[in-house]
Amino acid sequence: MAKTGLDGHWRGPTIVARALRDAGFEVIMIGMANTDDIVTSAVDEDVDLVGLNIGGHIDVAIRAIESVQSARPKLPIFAGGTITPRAAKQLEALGVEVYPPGSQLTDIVDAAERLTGIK
Amino acid sequence: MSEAATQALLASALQGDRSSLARLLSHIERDPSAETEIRATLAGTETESVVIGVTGPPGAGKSSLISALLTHTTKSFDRTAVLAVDPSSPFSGGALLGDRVRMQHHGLGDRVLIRSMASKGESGGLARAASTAIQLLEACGWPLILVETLGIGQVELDVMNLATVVAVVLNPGWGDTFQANKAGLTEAGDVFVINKADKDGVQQTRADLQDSLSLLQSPVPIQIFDTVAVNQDGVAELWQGIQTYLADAKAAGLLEQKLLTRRRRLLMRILQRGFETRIDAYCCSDHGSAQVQKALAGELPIEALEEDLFANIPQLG
Repeated sequence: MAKTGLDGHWRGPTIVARALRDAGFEVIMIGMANTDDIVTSAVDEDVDLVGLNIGGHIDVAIRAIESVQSARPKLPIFAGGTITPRAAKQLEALGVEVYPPGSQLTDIVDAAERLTGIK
Repeated sequence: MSEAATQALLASALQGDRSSLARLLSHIERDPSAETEIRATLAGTETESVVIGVTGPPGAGKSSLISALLTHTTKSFDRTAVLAVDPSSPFSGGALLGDRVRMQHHGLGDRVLIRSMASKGESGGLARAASTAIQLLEACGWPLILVETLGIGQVELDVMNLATVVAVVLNPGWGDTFQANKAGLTEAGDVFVINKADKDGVQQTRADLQDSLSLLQSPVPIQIFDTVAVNQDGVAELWQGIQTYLADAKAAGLLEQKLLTRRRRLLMRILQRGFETRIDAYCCSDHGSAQVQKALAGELPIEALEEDLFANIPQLG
């Protein structure tokens, strides 16, 4: 679970991480992270899913997503945060599932289970 | 994962492929039998990496201290691996592994490898797979391994059986002279750190610790360092202190002794685990579960159950 961009809104990713933890996931929080941090964590931790909290510029997030996809081609990615409908389309075009503000935690947990192949 | 796939991954990890190493680490976390297999393959390739255990209560600053140490460790050692353990929930089995938040801004690129690990119900402050993970990291050419335990209380001290040197991290205002003289934590450290030393109470905590440590029979002097990890204050001195400890311990023959303890401990754990598997198999068998039911109903004394268990213990495999 990583935050791209420089905004300091921790509540969202923390609540999502907590919901996943309570659903039995091992969630590795890496906090505010640049592209290299996200790619290194995805590889070294051998994760099954990447969760991005996107704040600020969508280009930064897209760069991170493309780098992760190049390092680990089949790794599923989902994203939340303040994402405009236009940015959401860009993310979806990259195969990223988007959960904008107002999404239900149960839907996010269901998505994590589906994307990691648990259910 | 098949045995052949594990061996292929191992071969590639040994040649330095990081993602293979990462996948193997996941594999041993999930599957205890893979641990046995990897241990068997690595047997005889004993290397001598330095393993530094970092332990202490939750929030003492263990992760921040490791993060601060990386700048120094990579001057003495080519590369540094970090194994960071955090607790699994006894309720959901899930875990929130947050050590990386403090650690990843080291800017040292590929020379540092950080791996998080959930404790998965282990009660000794580490994870079941931690010892094999260390062995694997050693074999893959990581000369220095920093092992961070989850936040511990007084006796979750498995790390002392795995580490070459144990650093105990405390904070100002931690306990008093009675706390410092209690068994467990203060007996297990080779180096003590009072982190967050910009807060009140450093002198008192140091005095209480010193008082307790002065009564320990250690062949090597045990030092106490004050640090403010997030500012790098005192961290260079701590690293120097750890190196001094290592040199002194080597000269005193203590490192050799520790290595023997470590191997013995590993051996015992493997034997215990094998035995637990067999007990489980007995309890799941038709005969065994019937005996257990009888014991639960009070029809069979526990001693008789134990005798029956030993008489009927299933062969492994």
